[in-house]
Amino acid sequence: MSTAHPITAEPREKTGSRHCRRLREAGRLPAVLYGHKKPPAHLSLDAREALAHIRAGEKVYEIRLGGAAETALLKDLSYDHLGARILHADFERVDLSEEVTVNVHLHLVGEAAGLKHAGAMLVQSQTELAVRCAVRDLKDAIDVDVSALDVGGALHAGDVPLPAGWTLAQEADAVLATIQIAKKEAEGEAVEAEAGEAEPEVIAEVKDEGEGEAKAESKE
Amino acid sequence: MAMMPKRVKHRKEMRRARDRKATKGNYVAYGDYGLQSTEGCWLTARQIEAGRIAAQHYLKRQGKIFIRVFPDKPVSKKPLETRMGKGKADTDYWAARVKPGTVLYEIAGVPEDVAKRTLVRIAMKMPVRCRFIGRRVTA
Repeated sequence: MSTAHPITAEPREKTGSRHCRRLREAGRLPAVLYGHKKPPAHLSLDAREALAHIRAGEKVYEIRLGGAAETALLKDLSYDHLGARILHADFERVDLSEEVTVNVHLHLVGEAAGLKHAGAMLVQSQTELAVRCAVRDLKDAIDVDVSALDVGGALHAGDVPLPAGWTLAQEADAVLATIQIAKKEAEGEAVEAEAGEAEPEVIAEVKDEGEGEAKAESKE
Repeated sequence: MAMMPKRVKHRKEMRRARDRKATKGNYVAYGDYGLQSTEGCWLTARQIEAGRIAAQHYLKRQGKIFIRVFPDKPVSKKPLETRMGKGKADTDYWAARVKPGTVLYEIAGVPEDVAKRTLVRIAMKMPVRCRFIGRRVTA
């Protein structure tokens, strides 16, 4: 069961990129709270406190604004172009009994049986699982045991045992993780490419030739 | 040259602006760790291949490398001792447009220290400053 992590917010009267930049320089994180057909509230959070919660992968928050407290779900994060800094956070108002669709972090636990083979590796192609559940049942992450996974085997979304009250909100045959054997060093690859080095086919020229023929035929 | 497109719409291309920041391809999507460029450049197919070979030699048969950039831009060069004019020259090499923030390589299936040492070796082959990154926190 999820606990709403309390977080203190202040109203943000001035919006826009310049004011947001000044806020960030002052150690605040700009955020917005929306949903439930109420007007959106522009907020500023203490950056150190908020980022510690966000980086821990927490999803449900109790946003304390003035004297009131509202339950909210972390909906989106904006990053800078290097992905190094979180610039802005979006929160959506929710009720604890409300059903929501959320991407939950996957933690693979256990030593996979297939990893004992030489050159075997665990490749996790998805780090999140889309699920639908009530907010009060939501967890920040889900542990999946991969100890039975062997070489060539795959962990599918449908194989993940979900807690009571959860339903899968994505395709059940989506591959989450596989055990793969690394290929032998492909030294031939480069040689092949070198040998087969040629000009690429030009689509526009092929089209021009086709058009030219068509025109000639129409003249005749 | 290892990588080049199989089919192109036009044989030659204009240079275009190269001073924008990356808004896509700027996070680790396939592997566990990545090498991100903090500068912009045209990364040639030879440089991409050099990075791949450096990684492969260091990793032996461990892990999996994902190359996130593809050299789809033809760069032309006039032959030496040629007078100006007479039209645009033939393609000399193929390059990938890299913007500040573009993830160049990703690695999966190895511990963090091995990934870091591998990506440092790739970074030595790159014409730009790079940094080591992990997966992003998402909402």
